[in-house]
Amino acid sequence: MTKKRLGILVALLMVPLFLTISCCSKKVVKPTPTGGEKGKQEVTAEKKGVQEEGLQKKKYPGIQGEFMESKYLKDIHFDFDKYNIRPDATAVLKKSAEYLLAHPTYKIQIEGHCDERGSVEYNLVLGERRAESAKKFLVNLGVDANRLSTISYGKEMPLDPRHNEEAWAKNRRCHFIILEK
Amino acid sequence: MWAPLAQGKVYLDIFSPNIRKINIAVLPPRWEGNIIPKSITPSLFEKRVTNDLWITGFFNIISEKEIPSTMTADYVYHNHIDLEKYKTLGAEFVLATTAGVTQGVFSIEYHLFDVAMFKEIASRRLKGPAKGKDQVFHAFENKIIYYITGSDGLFDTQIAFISTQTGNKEIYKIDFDGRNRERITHNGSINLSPRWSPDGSRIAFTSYIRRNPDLYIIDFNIGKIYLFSHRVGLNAAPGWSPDGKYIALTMRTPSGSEIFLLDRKGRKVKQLTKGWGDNLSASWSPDGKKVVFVSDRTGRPQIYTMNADGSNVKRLTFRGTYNVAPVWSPRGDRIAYSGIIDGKFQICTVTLDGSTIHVLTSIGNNYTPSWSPDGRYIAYSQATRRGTDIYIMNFDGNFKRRLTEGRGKNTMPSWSPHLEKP
Repeated sequence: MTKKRLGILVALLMVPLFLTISCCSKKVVKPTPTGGEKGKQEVTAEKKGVQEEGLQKKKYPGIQGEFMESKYLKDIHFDFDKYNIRPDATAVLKKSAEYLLAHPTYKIQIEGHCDERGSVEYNLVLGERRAESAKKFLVNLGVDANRLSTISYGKEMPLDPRHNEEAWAKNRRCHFIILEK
Repeated sequence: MWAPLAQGKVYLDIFSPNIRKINIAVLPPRWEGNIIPKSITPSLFEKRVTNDLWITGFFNIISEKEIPSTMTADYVYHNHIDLEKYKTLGAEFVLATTAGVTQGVFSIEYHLFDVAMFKEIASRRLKGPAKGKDQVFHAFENKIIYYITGSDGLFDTQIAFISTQTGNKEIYKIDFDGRNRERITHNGSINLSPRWSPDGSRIAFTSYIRRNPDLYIIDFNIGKIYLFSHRVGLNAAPGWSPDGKYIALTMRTPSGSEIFLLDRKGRKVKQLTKGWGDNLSASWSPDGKKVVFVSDRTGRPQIYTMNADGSNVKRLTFRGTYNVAPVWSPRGDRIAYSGIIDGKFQICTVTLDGSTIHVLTSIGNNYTPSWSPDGRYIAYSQATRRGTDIYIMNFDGNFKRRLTEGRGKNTMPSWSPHLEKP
């Protein structure tokens, strides 16, 4: 919603800052030749142009625990009352899978969300389906299922509070958060 | 409960088709003693009684304004009622009261007259602490409804609901007459689907406090809220069995959402539904033998019934492509639900064989019906451009009245059983 959008704006403004910080810190904690599995994957990730950005801790009001959001884990969208992965979402999920394979310690929660139409309880069930669809897709791309939890928020957390097709299309989504690094 | 009065007749069968309103003259109270607290003046007393009788939808009220002042003076100053005169006013009943507060005790004495029979049919004195005056009013008004309809009024019932008054969804409750709106949860989280237990001592609901839609129970007896079921995934849409021993809960399985039976300790006793899409939102028949629920096994959400052991699944709704939130009437003869008709959600009832559907609403979008404990009324949530509020209507769709007045969006009503001992 508005608060969230402001958050995104702030995050965007801060990106250059984070890039510099992460550049510097990268040098300091440069993986040693014996860096092992983790070091190797960071190198691969860098080659692919995927760079670790400064991940800020966030919190949803009234919900326990903190989480982080990465700009490399983009929302995917769904058709009305559907939970199948759309063609435009497969490309997004492939990128997300690359990112997750490059950061094998990250524990991810996939949130299934719905638009405001329909009943609260039926949308809870639909949100479960959406999150599970996204999870299955990522697992098929090689991401360890144990790193992926799912939760349905039904229609309880719209990204765009307006009541029109544009807002609904945005709100029918899976959102990906990092619970643990 | 449905037995006719032993000593009298039922004047108004509110379940018969085309019920006619009853004309009742409500006299201003005679006041006892010199103490007139600001919270209970004769004029407030009269307003309250008139309003409360009116909201039941059973009466045309002949109030003080419509009664010649000589007649009210006759009563208030001389304790005299000439029923012949009330007959000419068109009154079928006359309700006369004496009320007052003495030494912290609030009392109401009522006399109910049947004008046609030319006799007093009920009288009694009720009292209680002045601080708990609502309960005295509830007992008094419930009795008046009882003498006229043959079953107790609902003034001692409450409706639990969700409101976004604070910005997030918290659980609230409000009296049947719209008084005493009160917030119950204070967790700042997302709280959904409150459902009152059949004995009125608990409310089950789903909350996201622990980053999972877990089921919690508010226990009014011990004054606590505790975690009841926290399996990963949904612990949603609780349906209490009529004996209060089980909750039918919508939960995650590898193949989708299914309905499980949980016992008093939250243990899974049985899986009631299996396979083919999602199954959710269970509501029990009053005899505990059947469960109505939503399933999208055909691709769209429709309403089904099954035996309480999960056998004998039958589809109930065939009209429309989106029918949800079924609730079994306490009288057992029909099921209310919310379905899309011409693009909008409306509250409907359907008979148990699916043959007769009544559409009860027409304005805005209408969701989540909940029956009054006697099946006379349905509470529901109505969303229009002006706001989202809880409404109450007669079971046949007549006499709609708004129960909540703004302060956020008010949704998901659940009607309590009777909460006060008569």
